[in-house]
Amino acid sequence: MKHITTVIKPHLKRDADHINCRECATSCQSACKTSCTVGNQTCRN
Amino acid sequence: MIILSDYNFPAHVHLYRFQDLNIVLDVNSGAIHVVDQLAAQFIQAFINTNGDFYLAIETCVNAGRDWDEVMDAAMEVAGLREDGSLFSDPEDPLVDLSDAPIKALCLNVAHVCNMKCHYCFASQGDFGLDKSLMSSEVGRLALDFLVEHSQGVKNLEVDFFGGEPLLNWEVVKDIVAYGRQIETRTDKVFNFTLTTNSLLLNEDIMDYLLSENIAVILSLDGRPEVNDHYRILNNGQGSYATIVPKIHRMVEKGPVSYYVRGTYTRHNLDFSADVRHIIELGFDSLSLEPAVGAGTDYAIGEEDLPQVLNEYEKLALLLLEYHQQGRPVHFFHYDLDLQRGPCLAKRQTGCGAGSHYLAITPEGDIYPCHQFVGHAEYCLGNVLENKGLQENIRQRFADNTLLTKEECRQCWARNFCGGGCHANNYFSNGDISRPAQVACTMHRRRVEAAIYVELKKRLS
Repeated sequence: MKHITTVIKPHLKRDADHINCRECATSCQSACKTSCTVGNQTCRN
Repeated sequence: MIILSDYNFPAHVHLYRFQDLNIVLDVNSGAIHVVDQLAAQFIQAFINTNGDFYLAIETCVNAGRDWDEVMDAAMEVAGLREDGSLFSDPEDPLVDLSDAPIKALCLNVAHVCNMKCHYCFASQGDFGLDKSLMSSEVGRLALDFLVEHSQGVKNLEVDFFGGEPLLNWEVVKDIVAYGRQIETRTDKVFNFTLTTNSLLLNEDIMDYLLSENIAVILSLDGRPEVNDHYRILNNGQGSYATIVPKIHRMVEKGPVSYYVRGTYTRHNLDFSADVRHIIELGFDSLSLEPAVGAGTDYAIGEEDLPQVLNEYEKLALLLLEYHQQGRPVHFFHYDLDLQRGPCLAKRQTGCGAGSHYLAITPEGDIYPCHQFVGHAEYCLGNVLENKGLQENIRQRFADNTLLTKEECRQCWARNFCGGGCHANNYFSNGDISRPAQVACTMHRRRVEAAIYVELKKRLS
């Protein structure tokens, strides 16, 4: 019997090409302005 | 078998129960697992025994679990450790923000407002400064400044903010036109947004926003009595009846992107009812933020947290309810792209205030972000003066990443918040590097809830 279901695979350690390209949106420019987060930003690469 | 006696469990793994799911977040890899009761028990025992595999098995068996079943779960955990998706090791990229490109500006084109919202962090529009409007000259110089400091970054962002930016509409249009000119002679692309209270929206303005692909942030707090408690017109009346038809019309026209954005305070701690109200008005892209303002009678305090945290759980269920009805709703803080979010470097540099992101006042003064406007000690320079930025101030922000804040390094939610809001920290603790605990507690709950919502969608 399987006890663990992996729903989201490891992804934060990406290829160097995709690290820090800086093309992603800036948190506070969107809907927030007071309690920004970055996890809901989208990678443009 | 695995032994992890030196592993920093609280910082690297988060096991929690949310409604019907046991969820495990592997902080360093971003992997997320749903586990049954036995696996949850084993993982908790493994953490409690400081990473002693055999002792964790023994703990579960002593608690009445079947040996073979426990071994099965334990071997699954060992396999996940092996492939880097559970109890993975930290691998922090060294991100240096000291020479970071500037890629986003908040243009305070109007330090005046046609409303008198009691909770406004901009002091009803003027940020405690003189009431003023940005000139085209300052706006154009601000764009030049942005391009000059953007290095190789292609996508640049400019938000028209205030006060109320529509009170300076002709200048907004001039700045947009100037930005489009720049695009024709460079490889830069301007993504414009406009944050408005909607009062002055008319057909011409809406059509222009559409034609220029300008995203809009439209302010509305929710139920009429909630909105009208704080969002007051200059004549003292509430704004709900005036603005809702305008927001409807704007959204109906199909802007490139929009958010209905509200604020909740300690006077509407049942704010999931306001989210429901906004959705029932027909809007499917929204954000509701806690009021800021330490020491005020409206900002969320520590004593409000139990109800706020409970409300975020109710909100998760509410969003799932709409999802199941085939009416997906984008709620800003719950809209996590769990498999393809930003890279680790972005997560560690946070919102970028003071480094990637700056705010410009009508007079051309440059601040780390819109919330620092008016705090002279944080003024970085002026776009009208051909001088460099106050690098000592900029460096303080550049150095203030989650990697330099010990409390953040120990927090499992760090890769979702990026180290928190410098302004929240400053206004709560007088120090941009000291995390604002109330905000942190709310953030952690939002992340738990958002993960739950995404997992339920994927599993259904």
